[in-house]
Amino acid sequence: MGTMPRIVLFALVSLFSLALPAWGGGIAVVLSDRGSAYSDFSSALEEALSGTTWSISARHQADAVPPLAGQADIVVTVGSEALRKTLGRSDNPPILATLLPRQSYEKILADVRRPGRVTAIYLDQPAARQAAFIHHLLPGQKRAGMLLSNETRTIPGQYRQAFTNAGLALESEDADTENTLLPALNSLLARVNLLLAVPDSNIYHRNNIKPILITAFRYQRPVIGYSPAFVNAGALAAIHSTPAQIARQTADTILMHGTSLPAPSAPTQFAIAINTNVAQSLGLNIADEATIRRAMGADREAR
Amino acid sequence: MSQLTLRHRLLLLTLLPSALIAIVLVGYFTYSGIRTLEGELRAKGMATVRYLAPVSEYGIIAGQLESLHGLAQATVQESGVKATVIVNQKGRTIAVSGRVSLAAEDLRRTLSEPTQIGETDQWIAFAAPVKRSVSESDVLFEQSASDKSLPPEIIGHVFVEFDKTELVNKQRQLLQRGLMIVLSGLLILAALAIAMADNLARPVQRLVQAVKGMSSGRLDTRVPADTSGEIGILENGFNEMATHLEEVHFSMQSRIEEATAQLAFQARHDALTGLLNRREFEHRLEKALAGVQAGGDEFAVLFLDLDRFKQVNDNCGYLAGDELLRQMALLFQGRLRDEDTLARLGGDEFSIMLNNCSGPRANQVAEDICGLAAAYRFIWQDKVFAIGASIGLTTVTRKVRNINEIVAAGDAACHRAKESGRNRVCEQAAQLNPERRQESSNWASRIANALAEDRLLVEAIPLCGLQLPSGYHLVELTARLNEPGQPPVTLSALSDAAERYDLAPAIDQRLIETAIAAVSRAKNQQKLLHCLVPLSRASVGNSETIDFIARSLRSQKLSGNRLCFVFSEDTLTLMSSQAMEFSRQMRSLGCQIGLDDFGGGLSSFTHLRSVGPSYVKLSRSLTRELGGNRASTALLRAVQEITADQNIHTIAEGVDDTDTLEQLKKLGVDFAEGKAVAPSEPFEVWLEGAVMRSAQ
Repeated sequence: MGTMPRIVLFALVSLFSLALPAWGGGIAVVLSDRGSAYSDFSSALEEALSGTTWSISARHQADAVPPLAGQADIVVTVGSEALRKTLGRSDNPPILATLLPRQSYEKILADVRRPGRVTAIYLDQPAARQAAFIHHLLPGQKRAGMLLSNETRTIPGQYRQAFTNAGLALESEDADTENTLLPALNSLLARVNLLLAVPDSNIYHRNNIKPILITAFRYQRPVIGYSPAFVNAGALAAIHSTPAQIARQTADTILMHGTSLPAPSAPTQFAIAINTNVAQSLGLNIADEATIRRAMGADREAR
Repeated sequence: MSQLTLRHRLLLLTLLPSALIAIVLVGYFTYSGIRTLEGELRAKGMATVRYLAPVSEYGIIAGQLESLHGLAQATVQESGVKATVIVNQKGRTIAVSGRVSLAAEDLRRTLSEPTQIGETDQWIAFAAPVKRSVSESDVLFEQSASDKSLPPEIIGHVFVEFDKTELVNKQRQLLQRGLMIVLSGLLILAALAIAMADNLARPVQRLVQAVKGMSSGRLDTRVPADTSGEIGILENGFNEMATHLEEVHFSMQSRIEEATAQLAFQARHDALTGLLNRREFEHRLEKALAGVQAGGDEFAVLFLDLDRFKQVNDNCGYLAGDELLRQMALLFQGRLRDEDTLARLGGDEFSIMLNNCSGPRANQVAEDICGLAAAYRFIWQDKVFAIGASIGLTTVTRKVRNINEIVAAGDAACHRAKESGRNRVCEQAAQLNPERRQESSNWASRIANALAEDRLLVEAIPLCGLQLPSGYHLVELTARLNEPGQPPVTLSALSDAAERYDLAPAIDQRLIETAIAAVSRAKNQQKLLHCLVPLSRASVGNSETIDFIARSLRSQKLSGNRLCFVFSEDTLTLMSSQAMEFSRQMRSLGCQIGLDDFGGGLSSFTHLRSVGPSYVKLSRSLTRELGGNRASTALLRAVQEITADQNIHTIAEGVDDTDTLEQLKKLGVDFAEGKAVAPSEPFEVWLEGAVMRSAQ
């Protein structure tokens, strides 16, 4: 074999190696905060990526995000704040936003109005999963209520089909201001069997959660929350996804799609939190988490 | 402090500190109790509002006025709560219960913490903000981090007023209880302290009383020894000491009494003879005199003076003298009745008080005693002494004024008896002779003066030959002290004093001079005169006497054959060698030797050989009772035979009656002197009358 073929071979190999980054690269992780949820996510992501062609090339805090263009092939923002700050920069690579509610994601995108490749993995559980969870958690409780603000006015539309499919009725009440919250809640609770809370920064914030829970307790209505903290505060149960679960889904998404971003999606994995004290206080006999999870799994396979 | 008794000190010591401590303690606890009550009220108030605030939170948020009202009412139901007010964020009252005292502006205040917002005497108010409680929601769902740091929203306030009257009541109660405790505690303490002090002080007090009793002389004082501990030891100790002291005191007392009795006895009695002494005798005499003056019987008092006591004392020592006195005391005592009183007045002087005895009976007793004394022979070792007594008798009559008169009269009578030749009884009535004889201490000067002033009267005692006319004048020289206004004193009375003051040789020389002069003068007149010259013991023992005699004889150119020097048998007994030497010298001068008082002692006869006397003067004891006493007569006869055999002339002295003279004559006594023969008279008178004018 002569020199020339060798040179050609070398050039081919070099070209090939230049084409390879589409199948692997650096990931810049931007964390909203130094809290444990974010570091859990970060370490779970790193663990999920180990042994692949992708690796975390940079970690940043949301309050000090440098230009990221040359650093990474894709940016993973963790939390709402990280997405808001990262979107604020002009030269961004594709962004995968994680650990944020759908309402936040949509609100940030609307606020920033920046064109670019952005997708997300929401924290919000899909309506069908919620319906299945309520069905197995409180069998026989058919009427679910929901408090809505202008932030979540579209939610019932998304939920109604899934609830109907699960044999549940969904009622809602508007509570846009502080003053209308408790009257709205009172009127809603009088009509429904349980209160289903969906993430809404106008309604479910730290100042309001306790009065809402107390009011619901007065009506002896269980509250289905959306996070472990809500369950700790007094909600009967919640179905949620942990940062580690989201991190694994993030890694899977990147490995599968690379820099070509898919559409925003709901979390695929979830966890169940139950406050047994509340269940006892309300006189409810609740199945344990594993039972509910199995029942939900069986449901899905049946479909 | 020093004036307090033990009881007071104990009370003070126990009560004062404990009272102080009790007051301080109770005061402290009452004060802290009051403070605690206040603190409790405050803590309760703070706790009430602190709890009430969160409870009210939901009611305020939810605007549930009924429930808030219920809360307020429930709070007012709490003890001490006067009023409760709940206001909302804008300060508008939304619930109230009770009577509110707080001002409206207080209710509109904004607070950040529960606090006390007002206090008066009647009430105290607390307030707390009602904070919106915050639930931690999941950070992932929080819209923004900015509102996390905001402090919790204050949505209203609660106010609670507490009534302080209850607190004040409680505090008053506490104070009263404290005072009660102090008072009752102090009462109990005082009772205990008093009991304790009494318990301790009473035995001590008893001890003090007992000590006082002891020191004031009540030796039988004892304390009840029923206390335990140290006091008990003290009590027992005191009792033991008291017992001991009492015993010692009584034994001392009895010893003192014994000693006093002994002293009293000694004060009344003569130590040597055991007889009464002068003082006691005079005391009894006084009593007896008082009895007589009160109409009792008269009585007689004898005053005895032993003859020749001095010789015994001088020659054999005072032990012999003492023994003699004892024997004489026994002798006299044996003769007397129980009611008679025998006393030794001192020296060799005795006195006898004859109770209910006077006149002739008394005289008879005196004569008996005199005879006893004369007949008594005192034997000391190998020597025998004839003792006599000169007795003065005086009768105590109602006329006697005091005992001095009695003593003076008796003394004078005794003295007279002594002067008139010893061994006899003289009587003198008490009041007749108030003057006492001069003291013997004056003898020295009296004799010396008498010699110097030639007042020593030499007297002659003529002797009469009883058997055959002797053919010569035999005379014994004696001397008499003649003092103006004084009775004359015989030589025998003088001799004691003269010998004592060493004046006897001077008297003797005077007699020698007189005798030699008389012999010389008689010789010149062709008259035969023999002189018996008595010599004292001192003269016999003194060689100067011999020289003097020899010198005098030479100067008168006389041989000594007309002189006979007489000394007593005692002198010979006591000074044998000097007496024999004297005798030898005298015989060498041609002088003769005579023995006086011959036959009084048993040793008399040995002297006859050793001295070889020409004359012996028979002892009066031999010649006194010739009449009825055969023994005396036999003795005299034996003496007479011996002397006759030896060719020694016997002389009986003191022959006062012719009967005796006759008997002596019959017995063959050669010479006699006395009132029955011729009275004694001044030598010069006698010499002129009897010798110079005689036929021979």
